[in-house]
This record gives sequence, structure tokens and C-alpha cells, in this order.
Amino acid sequence: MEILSNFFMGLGYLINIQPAIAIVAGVILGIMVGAMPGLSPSMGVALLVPFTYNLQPHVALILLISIYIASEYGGSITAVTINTPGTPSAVVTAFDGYPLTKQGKAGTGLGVSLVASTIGGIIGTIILIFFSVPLARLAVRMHPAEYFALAIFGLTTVASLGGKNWIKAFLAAMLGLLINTIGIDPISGVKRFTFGTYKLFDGFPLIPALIGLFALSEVFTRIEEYKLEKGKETKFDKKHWPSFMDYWKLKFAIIRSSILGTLIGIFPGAGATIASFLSYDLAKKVSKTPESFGTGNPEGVAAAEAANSSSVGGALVPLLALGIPGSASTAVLVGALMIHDLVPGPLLFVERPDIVYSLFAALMVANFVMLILGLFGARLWIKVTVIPKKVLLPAILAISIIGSFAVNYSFFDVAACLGFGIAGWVLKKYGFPVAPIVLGMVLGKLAEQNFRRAVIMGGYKIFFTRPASVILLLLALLSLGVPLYQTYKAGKKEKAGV
Amino acid sequence: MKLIEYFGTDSGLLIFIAVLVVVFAAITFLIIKSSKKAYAGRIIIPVLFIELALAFGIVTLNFPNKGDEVGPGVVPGLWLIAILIFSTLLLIKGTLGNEEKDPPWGHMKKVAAFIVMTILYIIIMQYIGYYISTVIYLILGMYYLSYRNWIVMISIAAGWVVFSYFAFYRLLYVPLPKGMLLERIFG
Amino acid sequence: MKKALAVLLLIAIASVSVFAEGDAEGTGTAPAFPTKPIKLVVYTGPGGAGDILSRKFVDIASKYTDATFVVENKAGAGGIVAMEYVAATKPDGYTLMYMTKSNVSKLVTTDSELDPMTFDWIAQMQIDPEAVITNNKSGIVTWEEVVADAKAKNGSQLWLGPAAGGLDHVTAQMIWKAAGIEGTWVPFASGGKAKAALLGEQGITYTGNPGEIIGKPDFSVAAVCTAERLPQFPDVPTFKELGVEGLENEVMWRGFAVKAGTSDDIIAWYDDIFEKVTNDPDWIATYAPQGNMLVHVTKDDFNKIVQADYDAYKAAR
Repeated sequence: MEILSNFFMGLGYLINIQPAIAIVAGVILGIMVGAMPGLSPSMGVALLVPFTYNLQPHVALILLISIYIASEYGGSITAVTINTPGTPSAVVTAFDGYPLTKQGKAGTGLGVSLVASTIGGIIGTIILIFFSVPLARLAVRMHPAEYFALAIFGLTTVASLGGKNWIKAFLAAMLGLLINTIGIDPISGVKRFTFGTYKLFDGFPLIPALIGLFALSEVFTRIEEYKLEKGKETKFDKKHWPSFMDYWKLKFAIIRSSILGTLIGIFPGAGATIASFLSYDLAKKVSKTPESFGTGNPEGVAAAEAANSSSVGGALVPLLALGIPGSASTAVLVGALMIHDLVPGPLLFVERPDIVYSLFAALMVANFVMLILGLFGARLWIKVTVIPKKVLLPAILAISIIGSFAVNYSFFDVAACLGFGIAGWVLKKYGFPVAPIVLGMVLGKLAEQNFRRAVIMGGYKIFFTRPASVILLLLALLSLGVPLYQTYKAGKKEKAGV
Repeated sequence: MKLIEYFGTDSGLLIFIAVLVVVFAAITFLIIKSSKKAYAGRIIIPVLFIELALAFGIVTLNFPNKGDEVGPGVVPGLWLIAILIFSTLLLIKGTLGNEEKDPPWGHMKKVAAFIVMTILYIIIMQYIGYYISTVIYLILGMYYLSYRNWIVMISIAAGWVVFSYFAFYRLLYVPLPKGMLLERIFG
Repeated sequence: MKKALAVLLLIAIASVSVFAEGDAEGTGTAPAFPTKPIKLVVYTGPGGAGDILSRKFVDIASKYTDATFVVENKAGAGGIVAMEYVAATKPDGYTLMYMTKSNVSKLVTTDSELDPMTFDWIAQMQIDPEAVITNNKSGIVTWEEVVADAKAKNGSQLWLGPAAGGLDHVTAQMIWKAAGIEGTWVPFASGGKAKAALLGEQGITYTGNPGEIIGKPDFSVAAVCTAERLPQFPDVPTFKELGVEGLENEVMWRGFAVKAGTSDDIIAWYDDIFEKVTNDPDWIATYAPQGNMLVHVTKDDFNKIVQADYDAYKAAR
């Protein structure tokens, strides 16, 4: 067991003052970055890169990796407490996390998201340590046709997300997909829907749209209701910290989602958001009470958070085994490594095992540090839910504005965020869910580019001649058909009952 | 075909959009006057989506195709067709009254005021800088929601500005706007 | 209420003084240029290759000058956003921009109204030759094998790389023409993803820079677009050696520009800094092993190179 002895050697590196500080600081920063709408994990890592120039290489790497893993968790805090996903993947966490808060059970939401994130992160790390080489070989075999099928599979989760409102949910998803086509087409170089302004060459950025659709629209809805002065706020109830038994009940959901999350994280370009959507959908489909999803089911929170945290380990697989970044955040890590004259890739294991194994050890330790800090922190974050709404709502607006500015330092993004906020508010009012818009914006490029790439490589028939693609497409069909059929049956029953 | 090409030009597209706006206004007017008034939103929103899809569709049909097997217009075209289908379904449901009635309007004035305030905040920020404008915006926002505890208001506004200075400007190097007016005076 | 206003005023004054600080320092005894921090505009986000190069430059330059460089990221539209931003500044030398050859190609492919001579291209620092990269395990590794396979497949040989119309794509087309073969370009979202696909044997070659394979033993460089073999890759043949003519100078370059009209004194000051950085051991130690040719080409020659590249892109459209 050479891996294990190496791993313990890696742990040894951490028992020093500098790496220890790096982990703690990284986790704190990561949670902050994740919780701040607008600062996505990849930006958090990127913004800290210049800071690491003067650190020793392994300390720098430990700091960045701690930020990366903790920020995937941090996004859930604001998703649960104020329905403002701090990261794109936390959109899914909000589905059940925010209803829990509304019922006064914010403690359940925060507790479950923390524990699920930790376990997800650990499982992802274990898979990374033991199986990175064979998994990476698998990842590069993934043909554009299969990426396209995976994206379609991801899109079909809209059918079960939407429930009775499936037409509106699909319409929202299509809107997201259409928004995603704005900008310079990366395949042909043609400008699409840019209306003569270079500001639209890159299309609408995801993060400001996400902030607008979730945070701003929620604020507008609350102001419109304006029951702020009267009516008691649902206060946080201390009884709702989950007990060990509560967590134990979620064990299958967490383990299943962690494995799924790691696997999806491995494929360059898929990422944490798709992992969350798919494992939430899976959890809902295998559940005995699928109708409880979306109304505050802790299993939904667990599935989403375990998946997005475990995808971190997955995203590191192609980076370390092949030298190819699997996510925006790992692409930044490549840059950080290069500054220290380290080139990620298989040779790194041979030339600098100290770096690789201290990285593995740091990932493991960071998860535990996150758990401990998170448990303390949750006591603080829960206080957010008792801030008077009159103070909280303007504050959320201000956070949203600075968050959307921080993405590209551009006022265009801020304006886009506000636009999406108004649109999201109106759409929500008329029963359109906004999450499918985000899903569409995330999946659009993946679906379109791989579709066209696959056709360039092998014509239209290629989707049906590659077994993996056929299987994924069949799964997609199933995932689309089953919920629609259930909705249809439920609708019939309802009518018969009346 | 000629017509589609014409609508693809700058002036043609403007005319097309103008027609859409007129049609939209007419439909809105008719609905509000008709017995379907309670479903106005359920009808208007799909109509808006259909018009949006038509406008984007005209642009899509005019994308240059450089002889690729799947040109730049194919996939947006697919999404647009899907939007047309789903919107039409919704429109039918809405017109037949199979949808719920429109939700009641809440404090629209307050929301509008907040939207205007936010727009002003974004504009003014570019002139007087992030820090001052944010303090004003936060305090005004809370005041408007009838919060009157001045100590809390000021300490939150100041605290947030200090936090954003250290967290965003110092730690993360986000160049928060300093304000053109102030830059001119001091720089 | 009065108290509140007073506090408000205090905060306002405090926040004013906070951001006024940067401008107060540096005046007085310092030489004519620079008297305030220099903005170094980078057209990628933080953490990108260009960002790292720029920060490395700033780091090394600080050994030789007291001037402060502040890196400012202006990402978007493949550099157009940053170029528009710099084009709107005064030619006072306080705004420096990191540039690469792909900025020039972007000007052409996006039909931008910006003329490349809106800028004075003051220092070309790195030249990175284009190369054809293959997968060691695919059985098609050397250039001869690539050509044989291409002829057998008659146009359906797949060449992987980044977006269509970019430098790598244009280079691939020139290679096909010069070598008398045909291929199909498969554009990926980034070079990294194209390389992953090459590893998965989804295509035959990847077009990029030789430095990209360092540390990755699964790849080989089949041929490189230079006149002579690269010292870092002594075993890699040039196209010329392989009998393919006209590909001796297909390169990616990186450098810096300022707004056109900047005074000669300021440019001379920059020339001095860039010369010192070019010869700095730290700079060489970082970038030479990555397969770059480290150079220092100054304004007049660099301007000519840029104009020639621009005209070539225009003509190719």
C-alpha cells in the first residue's frame, strides 16, 4: 500500500505551522467566498492566486485547494438562509433548503448541508486518491456525442423539477438555453444576437444572471408582499438541529450522490452544477415520497450538497492524472502551479510526490476543518434568519450589486443582474420556476457545442452508433417520460376525484 | 425569403420589432377590455414569449452559414421552435381558462421605487464612487421600508462598506469604482 | 437626526480619504516618469496564462524600478473589452496593456473598428512557435504517419484544437495547404479540452504550442513551425526539414502595448525595463523551459510585425 504510506507522508507535511494556517485560512476564506453571491469557487481561487506568489509551493496549493473545497459548501449557506445561492451548484440546495428555513428549520438545512458536503468531499477525495488513473483514462474517452447526451440527460431533470407546471418549467429552460446562445458562436465564430455591441460578444454571464434570478427576484417578491412590519417572522427553532439519527437516515442519499458527483466531476466541462441537478433528480426518483421534494426534504439538501462537494475530487482527477483541468477552478490551479514552476500531470507524481500527497492530505484535512468551523459558524449564520427583513432586504440588494460587479468588474453585468432580477420576479409571480433558466444557461454551451462537434466528427448518425451515447439518451428519455406520465396520472386521478 | 432577408437588416429588424410591439399592445388592450381580464397575465406572458421567439427567429434565419454541416443557426432555431410550441400550449391553456386566475398585485409602488432606487444607485456609483453611494443606498433602502433605528442603520451601512473595502478591495483586488467625479477632483 | 448626518458625513470623508491615498504618493523628487502607479491591463481573468505572465513581469520589474504596477483584469470578448478600454485612455504611458497575437486576430474576426495602430506596440517579449502534437499511443505519432493517415482518410482526418478562426485553426489550414493534405478542424471550447480529446484518441492531431506537452509524456510533437529546431526540443523536426516549405515562422507572440502617441521618453523608459526583464534569470528560468523563445523586440519593429499580422488576417478573410 504505497499510496497509503505516501498519504501519511503527505499528512506529515501538514503538521507544520504554515500549512496548518493555510488550511484554516483557506477554509474560512472559501466559506466566505462561497457564501458571497457573485464570488464563485473558481473566482475565489483565481482572486487568491496572486496572493500565493510568495508562499512555498505546497503551502500555496494547500491554501487554494482549501478555498476550492470550502467554497462549494459555502454556497449552500446563503441558499438555505436567504434563498440566494452563493454558487451556481447551490441553486439545487435552495430547492429544499430555503423551504426548511421558511418553516423555521434553518438548523436542519444548514446542518445537513454541512455534513453532506463534508462526507461528499471525503468520498470524492478517496476516489481521487485511489482511482484517478483509470478514471482519467475513462474521462478522455468521453466523446462529444456522449457529452451531448449527458447534457440532454441533465435537461430532462426539468420534467421532474417542474411537476404539474412542467410546461412552464420547460419554457423557462428553453429561455435559459436561448440566452446561452447569445454571443460569438465558438464553433463558427459568427456573432449571434449581439445587436452590434461588443459587450454581448461573451453573452450574458451566468453569475449575475443567477444572482438576479434568485436573490433580487426574492427581494422584490418580499417587498411586494410587504408584510414586514406585522406578522411574526418564523423564528429559528433550536430543536431543529439534526441529531445523529437524522443524519444516519440520509446515509444512502449522501453516499449515492457523492459517488455520482465525483463521477460527473471527472468529465472536463460537466461540473458541479450538473452533478447537483442530476443527483437531486435521482434522489427524488428513488424516494418513496417524491412529492415532499421541494417542500423542505432534508434528503434534497443532502443530495445536492454531497454531489457538488464530491465533484471537487472528481475535477482534480484529470488535472493530476493527465494535466488537463476538469473545471474552471482547476484551470486556475494549473496557473497557480505554473507560477511555482510545477507542471500538473502524471510526471508530478514522480518528480514531486511531496506536492501531490500533501495536496491529497490537505483535501482530506480541509474537509474536517470545514466540518468543525462549519458547526461553529452555523450558530452564527442562523442569526441571519432573525435579522429584521427591513434591514435584510436592502442588504441583500447591496450584496447582489457588488457580487455581480465582482465577476468582471463591469457595470454591464450589474445592469444585467438587475434585469434578470425583474424578469425573475415577474416570471415567479406567474408560476414559472427560475431554476430551469439557470440549468439551461449552464447546459446550453455543453449541449450545443458537443452536438455540433459530434456531427463534424462523425455525422448525425454518431449519436446512435456509440453505445454510451445511446444508453445516455435512453436514460434521458426515461427520465423525461416517467415524471410526465406520473403527472398525467395524478392529474387524471384528481379530476376523477372531483 | 426576400422579406426575411429584409427583416434581417438593421432597419428591417426595427420595423419588425415595431410591428411586434403594436401587435402586443393591441392584444393587451383587447384582453383588458374583454371578459378574460382576470387571466390577462396568463395570456400576455406567452404572447410576449412568442413575439420574442419570432424576433430572435428572424435574426437566426439571417445568420451566415459558412458551409458547416450544422451552422450557427441550427441549435438556436431548435430552442426557438421549442419556445414557440410551449408558449402556444400555455396560451391555449390561458385562453381556455384552464389556468388559475392572475395572482393579486401587492405593493407594486414599493417594488417600483426599489427598482428605480437601484438603477439610480448603479448610475450614481460611477460618479461618486462605491463607498458613499452604498452608504446612502443602504440607509435610504431601510428607511423606505420604514425602519427607523438610526444606530442600526448607520452601523450596518458603514460596516458593510468597511467589510467590502477589506474583503473585496484589499483581499480580492476587486477595483471597486472610485467615482469619476472624485477621481477628477483628487487625481 | 443631526447626529446621524454628522456620522454619515464622517463616513463619507473617511471613505474619500481611503481611495485618495494612492494618488498622493510618488510626487516630488521622483524622475519625470512615472510619478504615479502604472495600470497594467490584462485581457484575461485572474489566474489565466496572460494574467500570470503579467504578474510575473510586474514581480521581476520591481527589482529594477521603484515604479508601481497595478494589474487590472478586463476580461471579455477575447480582449476587445480591454482594448477598447485602453484605446479610450490618454497616451500618457500610465496604461500598459498585455497583448498577444490573438488580440490582433480578434480585431479582424469580430470586425472591430479599432485599428491595431491605435496602440504603440512597444515590446514583444515571447515567441511561441506553433506545432502539431500527436498522441503517443495512437500509432500515428510522427509527421510522416500523420500525412499517410490523412491521405488514406481523404479529408476526414480530425484535427483538434481551440475555436474556429483562431490562430491555431489558421495555422492548421496553412499546414494543410503547404503539405498538400486535407483535414477536418474540430473546434473545442479550450485547448485543454482538445488535448483531452486527443488523449482519448478522438482525433489524430492537436495544433498548439510545444510547451503545452511538457510534463505530459502521453504527447509528442510531430513537427514545429520554426526555421531551426528548438533548443528545448532537440528531437523535434521542423517542417522545413520534413520538406514542407513556407511554415518557418508561424508563431504565437506575447508582448505589451501602450496607447499610440505616447512620448519617446516614456517609451525609452519602458525599453529599459523590458530589456532588464528579458535578461533577468528568473524570467528566463520560468519561461525558457516552457518552450518559448524569449526576445525583446522594440516599438518600430514590433509595430511592423503587428501590421503585417493584421494585414495577413484581413487578407485571409
